[in-house]
Amino acid sequence: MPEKWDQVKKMFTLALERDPEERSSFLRQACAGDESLRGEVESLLSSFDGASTFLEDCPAADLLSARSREMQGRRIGAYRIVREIGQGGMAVVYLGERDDQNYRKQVAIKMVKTGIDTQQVLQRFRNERQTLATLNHSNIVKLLDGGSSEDGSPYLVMEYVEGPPIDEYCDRHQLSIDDRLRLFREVCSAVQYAHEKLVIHRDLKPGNILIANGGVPRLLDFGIAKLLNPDCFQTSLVTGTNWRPMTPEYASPEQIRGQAVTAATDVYSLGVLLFDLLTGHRPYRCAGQSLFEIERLVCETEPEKPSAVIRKKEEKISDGGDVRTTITPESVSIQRGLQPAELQRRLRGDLDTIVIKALRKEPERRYGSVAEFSQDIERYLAGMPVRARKSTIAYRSGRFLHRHRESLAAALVVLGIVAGMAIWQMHRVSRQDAAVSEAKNAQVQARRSVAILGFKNLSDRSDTAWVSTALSEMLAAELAAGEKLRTVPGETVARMKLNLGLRDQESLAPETLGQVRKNLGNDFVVLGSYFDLGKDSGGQIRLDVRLQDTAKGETVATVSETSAEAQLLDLVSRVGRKLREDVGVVDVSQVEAVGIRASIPSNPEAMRLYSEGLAKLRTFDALAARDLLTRAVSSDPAYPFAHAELAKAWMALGYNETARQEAKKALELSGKLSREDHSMVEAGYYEINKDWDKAIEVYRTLSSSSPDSIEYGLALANAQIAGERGSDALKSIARLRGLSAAANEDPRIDMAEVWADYSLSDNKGVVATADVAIRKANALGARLLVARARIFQCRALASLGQPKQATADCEEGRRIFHEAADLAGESGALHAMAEVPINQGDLEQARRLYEQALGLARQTGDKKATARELGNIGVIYMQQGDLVTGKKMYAEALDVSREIGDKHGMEVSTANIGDIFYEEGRLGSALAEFQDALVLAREVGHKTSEAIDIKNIGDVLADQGDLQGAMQMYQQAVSIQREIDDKSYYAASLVSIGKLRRQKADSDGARKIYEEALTLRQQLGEKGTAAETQLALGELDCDSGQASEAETRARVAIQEFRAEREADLEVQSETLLSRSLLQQGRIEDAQQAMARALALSNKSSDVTVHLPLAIQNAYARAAVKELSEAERLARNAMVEAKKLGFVRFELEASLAIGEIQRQEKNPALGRKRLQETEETARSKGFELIARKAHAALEATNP
Amino acid sequence: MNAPIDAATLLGELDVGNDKAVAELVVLLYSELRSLASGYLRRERSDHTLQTTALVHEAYLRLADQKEVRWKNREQFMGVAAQLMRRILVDYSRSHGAQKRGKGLEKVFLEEAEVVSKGKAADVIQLDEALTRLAEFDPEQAHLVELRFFGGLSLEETAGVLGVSRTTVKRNWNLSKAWLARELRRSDQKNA
Repeated sequence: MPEKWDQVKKMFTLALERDPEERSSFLRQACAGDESLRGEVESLLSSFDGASTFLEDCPAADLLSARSREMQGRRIGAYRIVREIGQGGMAVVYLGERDDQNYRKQVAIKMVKTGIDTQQVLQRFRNERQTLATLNHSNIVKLLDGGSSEDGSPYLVMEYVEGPPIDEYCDRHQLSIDDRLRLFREVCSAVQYAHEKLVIHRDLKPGNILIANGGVPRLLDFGIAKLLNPDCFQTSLVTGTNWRPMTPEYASPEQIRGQAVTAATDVYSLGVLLFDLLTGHRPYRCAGQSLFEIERLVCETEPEKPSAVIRKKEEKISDGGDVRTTITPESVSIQRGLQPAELQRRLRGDLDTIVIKALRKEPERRYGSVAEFSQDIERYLAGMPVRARKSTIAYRSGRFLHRHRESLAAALVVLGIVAGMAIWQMHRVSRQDAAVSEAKNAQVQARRSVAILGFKNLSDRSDTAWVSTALSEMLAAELAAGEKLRTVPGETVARMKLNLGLRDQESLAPETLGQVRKNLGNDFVVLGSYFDLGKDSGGQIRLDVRLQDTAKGETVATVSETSAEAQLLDLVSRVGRKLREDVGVVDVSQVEAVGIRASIPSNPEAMRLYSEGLAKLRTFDALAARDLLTRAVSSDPAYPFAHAELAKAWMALGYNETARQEAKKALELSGKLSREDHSMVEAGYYEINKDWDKAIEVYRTLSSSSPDSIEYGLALANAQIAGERGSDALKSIARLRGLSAAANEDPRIDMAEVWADYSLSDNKGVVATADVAIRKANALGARLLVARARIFQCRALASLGQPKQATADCEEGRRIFHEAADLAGESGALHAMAEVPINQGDLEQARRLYEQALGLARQTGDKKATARELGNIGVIYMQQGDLVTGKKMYAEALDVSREIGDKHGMEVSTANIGDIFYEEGRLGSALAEFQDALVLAREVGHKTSEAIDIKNIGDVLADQGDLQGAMQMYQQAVSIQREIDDKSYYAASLVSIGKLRRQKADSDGARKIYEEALTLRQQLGEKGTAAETQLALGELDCDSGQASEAETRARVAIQEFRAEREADLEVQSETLLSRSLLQQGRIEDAQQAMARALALSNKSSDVTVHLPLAIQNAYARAAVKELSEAERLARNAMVEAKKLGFVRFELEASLAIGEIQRQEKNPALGRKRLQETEETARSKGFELIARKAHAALEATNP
Repeated sequence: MNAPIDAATLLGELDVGNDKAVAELVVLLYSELRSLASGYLRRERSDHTLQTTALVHEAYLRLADQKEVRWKNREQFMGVAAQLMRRILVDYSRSHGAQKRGKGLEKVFLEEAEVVSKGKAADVIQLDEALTRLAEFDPEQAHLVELRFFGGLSLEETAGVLGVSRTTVKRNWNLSKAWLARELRRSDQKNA
C-alpha cells in the first residue's frame, strides 16, 4: 500500500475542493512539513488534471456501437444496409436500400442477432417467411423478400414504413377518444385478418404499429415472435425456463407464465394498447422490476380502471425504454382535447368495462375474438349498450358501501392530521436538523448540531422526574439562541430514545454515541444527571452536565452547577454559557435572551406542569398530557408553548375545535419568540385549521432559509400531501434526498414519499417505497417508523387485492405499536386490518377487529377514533340484521361526535339512525333523523351525503302518501348527484322516481327510468342493486299482465341474493315470484314460493319487507279459498300500515281486503270497500291502486 | 432442483472462448446493469442509452434465476455482474488484440476513450492490471471503478448500488481516475 494512503485520500479530496491556484498553498499548509505526503498528493492532482475524459466512456457501450457500425454498408441480397433503425428481442432491424436500375427503394431488413443463427432457427425462419407471405392486408406491412446473406445469416426484407408509433401519433394530433377508437378498430381488423390466417402476432405494442402517411396504421413484425422462442439459443447460462422475450407491459399472463399462446393473447395485448391510447397510462408498471415482480403484477394484481388511472401522475417509459415522460391528469386530457373531469366521465362505464374485459387474466374470460372486441367498440361508438359485463364484483348494498366509505374518509383525514401534528411536534424546538454530515458544500459553514438526551435523576424521587424534561427544554432554548448551533427537536430525541431503548444516563459509551449519531446525525450530545434535594431542603438542585462528541466518541466537557429550584433558568443559563464556550460559539445577545425568556414558562410550577405534560404527550398518553398542560396553562397563561402543546393533546383526543382555540392562543402569544419558533407555532395553527396553503407557505419560507434542515423539508412535504399536492410533495422529497448522504439514509424521507404515493393512489409505489423505509428504519432501530410503514403497506396491498400479505403487514405494525405502548397506533393498525375482511365479505372478523380498535381508542381517550369505530361496528350489526345493537352503536357514536363537535361524524351517525327507524317502520322518527342529517350535511358541505339524505326524505314522504313532496325531493337529489357525477346513488334516486311513476299508473315512464337505472348499475358492476332493479321491473310486468317475464326476473334475483346472503332481498324476490305465479294460475308453485318467503322473513325486522309479504300472502290464501284467513292477514297488514303511517301499504292492504271480500258471502261489503279504496287512492295520487280497485269493482258488478 | 450456485462458481464457469456468445452476453449484461441500477433512481432520469425490455429479462434469467443462483440482494448481483463484465471485456480484448495484431494487446474497441495526456487509446488489459493493484490496498475504490467503467453505471446509479451519496462517489471516482491514470502512464513509460 502506498504510504499514508488514508491521508493521501483525505488531502487529495480537500485540495480538489479548492480553486486550482489555491491548491499548492493549501497543501503546503495542510501537510505541515510532510513532504512525501505533499508530493504524492501533488502528483495525483496533476495526473487528475490531465485525465478529464479518462475512463468516462464505457467499453461495453462502445462495443455495442461498434457492432452496429460494422454492419453499415454491407450488402444483404439485393440491398445495401444504410443504418440500424431498431432492435427488438433477439432481432435487429436495418434500413436498407435497393438502388439498381435507377430505382431506389427503401426497405427494412430484419436479421436475427449474431450468435443465435443455428440450424433450427434457419428452419423456423423459412417457415415463418411462408406464413408471412400469405398475409396480404392493407394494415399489415408486406414481406418483400427474404433469404440468407453470404455468411449464412437469415434475413427478411419488409416494406419500410415511415411514421410514428400509434400512441405518439394520437397524442401528437390530439386525437379525440372517438378518433382513437376508430384507429384502434383498424388495428383490430388487421389482427383479426391474421388470426383468420392462423397467425398470432404475440408482440403487439405501439412500437410495432406505425401510422404511415395519411393516418393508416401498419402492423410490423407479424409472427416474428415465433422465431424468438428461447429454446433456439440456449447457452451455458440459460436455465431452461420457458421464457419468451416480449415487452413485459404488453405481455399477457399466459405469455409471462410460458403457457399456451392463443388468439386471446393478442386480444389481451390489444387491451393494453387500448388502455394506453385511452389513458396514456399502462395497466401495470413493469419498468425496472424483476421478472418475478412482473409476473406477480401481471398475473396476480388487478389493473386500475381507465377512468381511475387517469387521475394519477406517473412516469411513463416508452416501449423502447429510452424515453421517459411524466404524465398528469392534465396532460392526458389535453392530448385528448378534454378537461380531466370530462375525460374521466367519458371513460367511466362502458369504456372501463370494455378495456377490463380484454385484460382479464384468464384467456377464456376475455373477448372470444378480436372481432368481438372490435364490435363492442363499434357498439359503444354507435351509442348502443356494450356486451362486456362485469363478472364478479361482490354485491354490497349501497347503504353499507356509502357509510363505510364515509368512515374511511374520516379515518384518512384523521391520519393526515395526526401525521401533520407529529411533524409539528417534531419541530417545536426548531432550530435544528437531524442529519448533517460530510457532504457539505465547502463554502457554507454547516451549523453543528446538538442533541440533548436528558438527565438522570439521582435523587431517586419520582416527583422530580419532570426536571429532566424541563432542563432539556431550557437548555435547548439556551443553546439554540442566535442560530449558531442547531438543537435536535425534543420530540425527535424522545422517539430515538424509545426506538433504541435508551434510558437517561450520565454518559454514553463510544459505540452508543455512534448509534445516536447514526440516528440523529448530530455532532454532540448533552446529558448528565441532577440531584434534587426537594422542597424540604430549600429546593436545591445540583446539575452535572456532560458534552460528548458523537464522532470521536468521547467527552468534550463537563460542567457542574448548583442552584435553587426556583432559579432553574439561571442555572441553565450558566451551564449553557459554559457549553457554548466549549464548542466555540459566541454568547447570547440581549435580544436573544428575550427570546429564550419567552420560550420558557415564567414560574417553576408552570415549568414543572409543562414538562410533565410534554413527557406524557411524547409517550402517547394524551389524556394525562391534557390534564397537566391545562394546569400549566392556568399557571402561566402567557406561555405560548403550553398552549401549543395543549392544542396537540386536544387534537390527539379528537377535539378539533378546542384544539383550534388553543393553537390560536399560542399564535397570539408567540410574538416574542425567536423567528423560527414563531413560524413553527404559526404553521401549527394553520395545520389545525387545515389551511394547508398557508402552512405550506410558512414551511417553505423556513425551509428556504435553512435549506440543510431535513425537519423543515419534511414538514413542508407533509403539509403539501395533506393539502392534496402530492406531486409538489414528491418534488420536495426529491430535494431532501439530495441533501446529504445521511439524508439518503433517513427513513422519514421515504416515509413522506410513502404517504405522498398513498395520497396519489399509487398503491404499487406505496408498497415499494415502504419497503425502502422499513429497511432504513430497521437499520436505525426506528421501530415506530417501521410500524407506520407497515400500515401504509397493508392498506395499499389490500387495495391491490392481496389480502394475506396486507393482513400480515398490519399485524406486524400492530405488534410494534403494542410493544411500544402506542395504543393510538395500535388502534389505527386494527382499523386498517379490518378493511381486509370487509373486502372479502367476512363481517364477523371485521367486527372483531373494529371492536379491538374501539377498545384501544377508548383507552387513549381519542374521541374521534371512538366514534369512528362505534359507527363501523354499528354498520356491521345493521348489515347482519341486528337493528337493536346497530342503533345502540350509532347512538353512542353520535354522542361522542357531538361531544367533540364533529359535525361530519354526527351526520353519518344521524343518517344511519334514520335508516334503522325506517326499517323498523317508524316513519316519523326516520324523517326527523334524515332531516337532522340533511342540516348537518349542508353545514359541512358534504354533497354526496346531502343528496342521499334528501332522497331518503323523499322515500319517507312517498310512503306517507305525499307523492308530490317526494317527487320534489327526488328532483333535488338527482340534480346534486348529476352535479357531482355520483352515478351509484343517482341510480338509486332513479329507482325511487320510477316507483313513484308506477304508483301514478305511468307504467311506460316507470319502465324507462328503471331501465336507465339498470344499465347504470350494470355498468358500475353493482350486481346486487341491478338485481333489485330487476325486481322493480318485475312488479311492472305483473301490473301489465306479463307474469312470465316477472317470474324470470324474480328467479334470477333469487339466485343472486341467495349467493350474497341478502335475506331481506331474497324475501322480496320470492314475494314477487309468488305474485307472478299466482297470476299465471300456478297456485301450487305460488304457495311454495310464499312458504319460502315466510320462512326467510323470520330473521328480518324490516317492516318494508314484512308488509308487502303479508299482503301477497293474503292473495295466496284467497287463491286456495282460505278466505277468512286471507282477510285476516290483509286486515292485520292494513292496521299495521295505518299505525305506522305507510299510506301506500294501507291502500294496497285495503284493496286486497276488498278483492277478498267480494269473493265471500257478502260481495256488497267488498264493493263498498273497493269504492272507498278507489276514491281515497285517487285523491292521494295513487292512481295505480285506484285503477286496480276500479277494475275489481267492474269485475264484481252483477 | 439444483443446488444453489454461488457467485464465485458462476464467474469461474464462464466460458469466454466463444466470441459470439460473449458478445451476446455483453449486450445482455450491459442492459441488465443499467436497468437494475436505474431501478435505484425511482424518478427523473432520461439518460438510458440502451433499451431495457426483452434483453433485460433474458439477462436476468440467465444470471439471477432463483432456481440456479441465490443472490443475497441486488447489490451483490450488481457487484458480480460488473465483475463479470470486466472479465468478459478483458478476455475479449485479450483474444481480439492477439488475433488482430499478433502482438500487444492494445486498441480493441476503445478508440474513443482517450488516455491521460497522450491521447492514446486506453488499454483495457493494462487498466485491468492497475485495477488489481488498486484493489490490493483499497478494494472499495477498485469496486467503484468496476461499476462505473466496466458496468457503465452513472454516478447516481453507482451511488445507489453502493449506498452512498453521489458526492461521495464523485469524490472517490476522481481519486481513482487520478491514481489509475498515473499508474497507466507509469507502466507505459516503463514499457517504452
